[in-house]
Amino acid sequence: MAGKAEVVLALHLVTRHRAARLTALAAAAATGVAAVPGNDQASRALILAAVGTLAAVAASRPLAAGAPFLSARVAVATWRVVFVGRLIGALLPVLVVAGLAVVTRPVFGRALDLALLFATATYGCVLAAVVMGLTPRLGASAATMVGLVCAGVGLLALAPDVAPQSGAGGFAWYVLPLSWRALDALNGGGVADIAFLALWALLGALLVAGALHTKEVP
Amino acid sequence: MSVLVCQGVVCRPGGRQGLTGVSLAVDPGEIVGLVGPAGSGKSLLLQVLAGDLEPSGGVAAVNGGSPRSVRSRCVVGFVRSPPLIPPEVTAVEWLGYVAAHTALGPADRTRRVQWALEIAGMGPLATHRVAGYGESAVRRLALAAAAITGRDALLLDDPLAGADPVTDAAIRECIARLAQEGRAVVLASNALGSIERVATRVVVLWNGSLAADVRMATLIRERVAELSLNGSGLRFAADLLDRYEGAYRTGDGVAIPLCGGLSIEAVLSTCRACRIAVAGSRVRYRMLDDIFVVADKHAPTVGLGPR
Repeated sequence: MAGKAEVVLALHLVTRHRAARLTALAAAAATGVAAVPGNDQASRALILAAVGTLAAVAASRPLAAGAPFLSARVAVATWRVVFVGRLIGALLPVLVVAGLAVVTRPVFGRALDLALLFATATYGCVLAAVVMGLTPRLGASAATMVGLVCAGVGLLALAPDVAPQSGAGGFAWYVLPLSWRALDALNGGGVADIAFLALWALLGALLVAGALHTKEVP
Repeated sequence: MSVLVCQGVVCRPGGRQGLTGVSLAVDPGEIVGLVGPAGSGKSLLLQVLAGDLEPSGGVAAVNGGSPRSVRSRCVVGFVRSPPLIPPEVTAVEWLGYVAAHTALGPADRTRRVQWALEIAGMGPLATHRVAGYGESAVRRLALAAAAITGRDALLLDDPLAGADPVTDAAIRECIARLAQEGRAVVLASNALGSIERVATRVVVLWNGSLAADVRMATLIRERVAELSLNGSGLRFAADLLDRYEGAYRTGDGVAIPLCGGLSIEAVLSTCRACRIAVAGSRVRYRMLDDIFVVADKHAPTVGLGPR
């Protein structure tokens, strides 16, 4: 019952926030454009970036400084219940957009791409976990910005000359959970990319645990 | 056994003055009014008891355990100032969220939400979003949520702020009802009139230390003599202030607490003997304001007569 309460609270915090609603509309529009026949790689990258963007914005709400963060202390909820419950709550709108993006592809003459659905859901989950973990420390805006950079930079994979894997080997952002990672995994990149993203999700969970166990309330 | 205990609590978050050795014990059913000027440490003491801050010295305990333990936090309800409730949710949703973490099942959760809505008098506001509430409605909702969590103790930081007289009375009635059910209540506020009506005991904090701790029964027993000193008599006001402990200046004279067997006749007799012209005199009940003023003059400790 506590877990369900966290899911419902997160859902309220996300769906009743103007920025999240507007981002959901923009993401739905972007995925609609991505469904138009053309370059399949570009379509996948755009969907991943759009869903990642929505995940970043949505995940910044459930643990934003002030009432959303302190509500976990008011209710004396354990960090695991808070993290999992609010992650699911924040992801529900994301999954709806991701599902629509994939399901509507056949309408535009593309094949139903279930692997893309799995990849977008996984990537949205990872990015949401990271943003949620960073929010209590950096603030909602800064954490969202990190998420937006990760989702947006992944689009660079479409430009062969500046693709992260080729031209920016030593570059710091290469270690970020870029949407390029999910695209690479989707293209048969292997377990390494998925493991890398899973590590980031774990880091997000640990950051949430740390924030809820801080010595003093901010 | 006291539910809330502080023994020599020292807490200086961020290098501020904070609390400098506060000792306090609150029993079940007791309503302790915590008063003091801004920055005296009222909110800080509540945060320590709620487990939000760890004292750097001394001991704070809830039911004998650390306030930071989950066991303690599950029995203490805390209303922060200002209350932190997400503006996106309604009162029913917020109370449902809080109740879901402690209820035994869906039916118990619904029962707790109904009970909390009733004691806080949320009425038609219950299904409206918090974003549209006035200040006192938000505080009432925070009190209702704290009542759900606080099975043993309630820590209320200025729940009466911004309340009109009717709401003020409703909140006081609600607090009294919760205390009657056996909760220990600490009510920090500077609404002295309201504190006087609801508290069973009053603690004055001054510059982070305990300046006074008096039971309302004692306060009700005590009287204050007010002397009006016209003209030349005013020159001798300082003599009276020196002579009587706890005496303080009023507009045109002095107010002298009649404690320790002192009577108005004895005071007037002294004035006659010292040739101090008294234009008028009266005896009134002692009020919380008197303690506040005395604490200001004599901090950190003042004599308040027999307890």
